[in-house]
Amino acid sequence: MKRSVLIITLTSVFLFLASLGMIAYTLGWIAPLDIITTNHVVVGDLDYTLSGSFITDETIIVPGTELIDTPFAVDNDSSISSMLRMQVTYTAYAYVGEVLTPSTVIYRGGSTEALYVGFASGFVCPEGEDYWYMTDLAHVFSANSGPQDLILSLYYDGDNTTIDFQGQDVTVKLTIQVSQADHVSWTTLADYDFATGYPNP
Amino acid sequence: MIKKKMTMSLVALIGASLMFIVATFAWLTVSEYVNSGITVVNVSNADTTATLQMAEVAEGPYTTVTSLIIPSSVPGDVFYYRLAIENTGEVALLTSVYFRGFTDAVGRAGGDPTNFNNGQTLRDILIVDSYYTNDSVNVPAVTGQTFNALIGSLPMGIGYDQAVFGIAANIPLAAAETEYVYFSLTVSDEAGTDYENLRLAISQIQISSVSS
Repeated sequence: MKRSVLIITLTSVFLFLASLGMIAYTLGWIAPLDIITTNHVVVGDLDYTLSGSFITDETIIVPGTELIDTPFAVDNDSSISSMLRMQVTYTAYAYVGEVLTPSTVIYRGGSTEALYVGFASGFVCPEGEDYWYMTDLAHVFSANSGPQDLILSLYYDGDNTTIDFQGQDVTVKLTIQVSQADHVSWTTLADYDFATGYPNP
Repeated sequence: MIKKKMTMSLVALIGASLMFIVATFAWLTVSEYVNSGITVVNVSNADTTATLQMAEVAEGPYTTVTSLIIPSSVPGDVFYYRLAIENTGEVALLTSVYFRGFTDAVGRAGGDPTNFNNGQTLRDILIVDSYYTNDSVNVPAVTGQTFNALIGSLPMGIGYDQAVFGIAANIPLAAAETEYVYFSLTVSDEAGTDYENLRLAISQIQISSVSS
């Protein structure tokens, strides 16, 4: 008995709602929906493959010794356009008073710098900047731009390296940073270090 | 006894529904107007067509696309769209546009999934601006709000895959008239690398209308 009442009640409710829907549709209270499907938004990512290396740490070097074993390069497979910059720092020695003092210097390509860096064609260090950019500050690498040479050669320049460097420890550091757009802060892609020293007696 | 009464009620309801349908669809008349004996019911035809269009700049030109697809973007990018909504029916309508159903995913399958795994979502950095035209007058609708701000709090048991928000509501649309809903999606220029390689699917852009 209760089951029959339930069935009849549910049927009545269904019929009532169906009638209401029919009335609404018929009188134009409700128009059919227009639906646009399969929509999506993607924020791209950076995909750089690095290659290159310094010679083995602790190698004893002299001015003119090539410190790069394999030239540094990247292969850009990023799905978006991006920017890239590099910084090279190195140890330099100079007397402060009578004390030989080491300092970490940012390489900017000056003619009197103790280090020589052979950047790939097109890289420049704009006035007042600490980083090397392709062409200028605003240069953008397009998506999937492919292989890009960075540094081909790097050594202490005998013309500018004095006897003061003899027997001293030196460190050279290469930092590569990338950014997906002007609006995003730079992210360090890689740090390469080379350190050596003349063994103490 | 009760069963008998309810059965009778049910029969009466079915009969009434049937009579209404027969009368409304004019199965028994050739007139556009159906005289039910009590009131005159105007049988109306309400329908719309909507076309999605996109442009590189807000001023256009706009070209028709089948769906909203932004395959690769970076912070600061702005994407311009508009919906051309035509009232192809015979009655004036009020039309609303909704975004419905949001699903997060990794942007590129071979890319770094860290941001997705950390729960980052583009709903936080996608910003909506919209307005619609009404008799050639631009009416602002949404100004600079993220998807999440527009979605607001979700009811219990409802996920973002069922969430919905409107970008324009109750746009007057006279019969045989076309109005436009302009909207832009901006990838916030404050987004950092923690939003790289993310994807947000929007299952539906829904244009619904009711008789005004």
